[in-house]
Amino acid sequence: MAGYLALVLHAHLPFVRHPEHPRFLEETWLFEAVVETYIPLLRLLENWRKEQLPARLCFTLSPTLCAMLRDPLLQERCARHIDDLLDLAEKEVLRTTFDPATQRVAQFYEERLQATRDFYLKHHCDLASRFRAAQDSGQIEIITCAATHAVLPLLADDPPAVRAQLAAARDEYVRCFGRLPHGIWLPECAFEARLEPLLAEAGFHWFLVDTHGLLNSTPPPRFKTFAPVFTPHGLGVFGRDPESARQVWSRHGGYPGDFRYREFYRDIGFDLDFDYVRAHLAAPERRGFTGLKYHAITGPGSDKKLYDRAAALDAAATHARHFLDARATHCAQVHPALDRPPILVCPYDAELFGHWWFEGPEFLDALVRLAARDNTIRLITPGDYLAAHPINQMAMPSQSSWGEGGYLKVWLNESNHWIQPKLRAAQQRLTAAVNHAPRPLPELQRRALAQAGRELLLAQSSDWPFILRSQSSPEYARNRVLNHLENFSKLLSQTENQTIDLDFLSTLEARNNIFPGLDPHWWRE
Amino acid sequence: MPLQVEPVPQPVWLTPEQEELLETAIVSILRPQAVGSLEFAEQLSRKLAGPAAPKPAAAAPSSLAPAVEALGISSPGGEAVPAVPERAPNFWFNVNAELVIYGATEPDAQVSIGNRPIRLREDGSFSYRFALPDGQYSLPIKAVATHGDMRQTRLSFRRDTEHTGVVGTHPQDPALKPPAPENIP
Repeated sequence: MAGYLALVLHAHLPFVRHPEHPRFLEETWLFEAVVETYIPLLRLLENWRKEQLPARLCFTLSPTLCAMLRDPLLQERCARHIDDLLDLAEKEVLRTTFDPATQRVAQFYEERLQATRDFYLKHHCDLASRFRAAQDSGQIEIITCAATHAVLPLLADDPPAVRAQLAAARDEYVRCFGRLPHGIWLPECAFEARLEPLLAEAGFHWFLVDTHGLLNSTPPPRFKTFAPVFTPHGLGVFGRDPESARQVWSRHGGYPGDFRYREFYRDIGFDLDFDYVRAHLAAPERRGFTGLKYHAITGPGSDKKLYDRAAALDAAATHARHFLDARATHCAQVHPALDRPPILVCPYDAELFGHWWFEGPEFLDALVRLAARDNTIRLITPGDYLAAHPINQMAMPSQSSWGEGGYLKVWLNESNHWIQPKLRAAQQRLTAAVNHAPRPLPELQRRALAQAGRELLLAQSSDWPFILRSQSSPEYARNRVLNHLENFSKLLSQTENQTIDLDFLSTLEARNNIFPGLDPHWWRE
Repeated sequence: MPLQVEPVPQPVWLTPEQEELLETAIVSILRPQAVGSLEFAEQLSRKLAGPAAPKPAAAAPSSLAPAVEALGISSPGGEAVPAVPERAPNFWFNVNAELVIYGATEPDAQVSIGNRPIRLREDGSFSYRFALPDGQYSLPIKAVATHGDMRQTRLSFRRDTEHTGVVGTHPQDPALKPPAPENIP
């Protein structure tokens, strides 16, 4: 064996649930990910289990995603979304009757969506339970991340804010998976030293940082990113392997850009007559993606060839072979310098596989099968690695994040800096309220403070500053931050004045119903 | 191209030892501009965006001018075609054609179009579209009642297209950004 390969698939979506509206555009984010990523990946796991393939992978399932996957309202709406897509695919097979080549692609979608629908209904729309079963059977290791994907270094001035994010994440994980999490994905791979004791205090055993976060550790890591280090409080820290990241993400030469793969941007939601597709769009008043796409990337121009599924699968198999061979060569190069086989840690967004890179699941499938056959690279999870290699260098990683610049720039800049003072003021106000509250808390006061905590957690999501920075459509993100903070402020004022509006509180509890086990004392200082 | 990353120069903060290892074991370090949840969130944020300002579905092709000039000499029928007074670089024209087959029967009847079963609305009506490229086609449509009575029709169609100048077929909506790399953030 030349070395270890740790594939870490990070699945996360912000909490978007709007029971106050019969349909809501942004809820489609979840439905698309279910159809294009989560179900295809779960079907892979199911196939590998049946064939007894040694496919040990690590998944992050963020607490907000877990909550949405288990929510009955969103499950019902997702089932409706799949039904609607299947209806559209059936229409497309008919519509393309006089164009047999396009009809073959439409038939591919129809069959695929039928299988997707069967899978979803067979498992009672509960995908979280399928991930749990895969973990319980030893196929995968599931880790958590901060409760609402908050950028933790931006909260580190207020340790109770970090503690609450970690406690809510752990609590949701136990509720979802029936055990304590060992690993944690730091949102946006963002780390700074003040987090380390808080992560240890919350019971976590390991986390990931970006490449430079590990390479700039104090002292420098002897084995670079090819082995983890232990922090002073004993947490294992793994660094991202840059070369494997480049091969997937590079604009020039990255696998997903192969001309044979499906083109993401050509979608019948834009291509066909508006009157025809309108009924199948998430927002019927404007065009959008449906997920039915008939073209291959083809090249840099706007003329696109018809999607050839067989050619795309050939590309996925070729890329899997190349990826595995490159990892084996890499491991063979560095192995002599190490006292154990090197580990290459490859974290990717789960949503890359299937949603962005349509053939990504087939790439993973080929990779797992080739790894099992070759026996040169062993798939492992970071948790398994630490169990097998419990002696590692002591070092403290440096402050770092992934994303442009590598130091939080994406989430704190001129487009979104206004969020941070508001979050900090709210955080300190909640801590003060909890510190001065009687113990045990009277029930109504506990409910109000708990809901205030939910609103604050939801306002802290890293997704909002990111969308604000993109400036494509900042209204939803801005409104989410401001609405949560307004709800928070009202609840705190009512609690302080002992004028809690039960209707208001109940409405918020029903709408933003995440983290049912939330304890206001998590914010106590 | 669905994915974009921006290469960033090799970090300057590496120690000589780190640089040596990177040279032997790592081709290069690239800093993804938008990775992981960033990338996905960016895509999501695009979906929130309203339609862009109308743009041509296909850029005015350089072949437009000679084509017009050639046609300006004489039309296929031998008659002179007025010269285009001024070339409008952003002018464009897309045309598509679809058939709509619609009808109704008893709500519990089995209906097929082109030998493929279709779904009826609750009142027994139906409406389906068919893309109609150039060519000649026929379409059998059949309804079978629950008691076995059968009615069938066969529709035939032909489409011929002649363009003058550059006429595209796709995309249909002027609000759609052409999926060219420069339009992908």
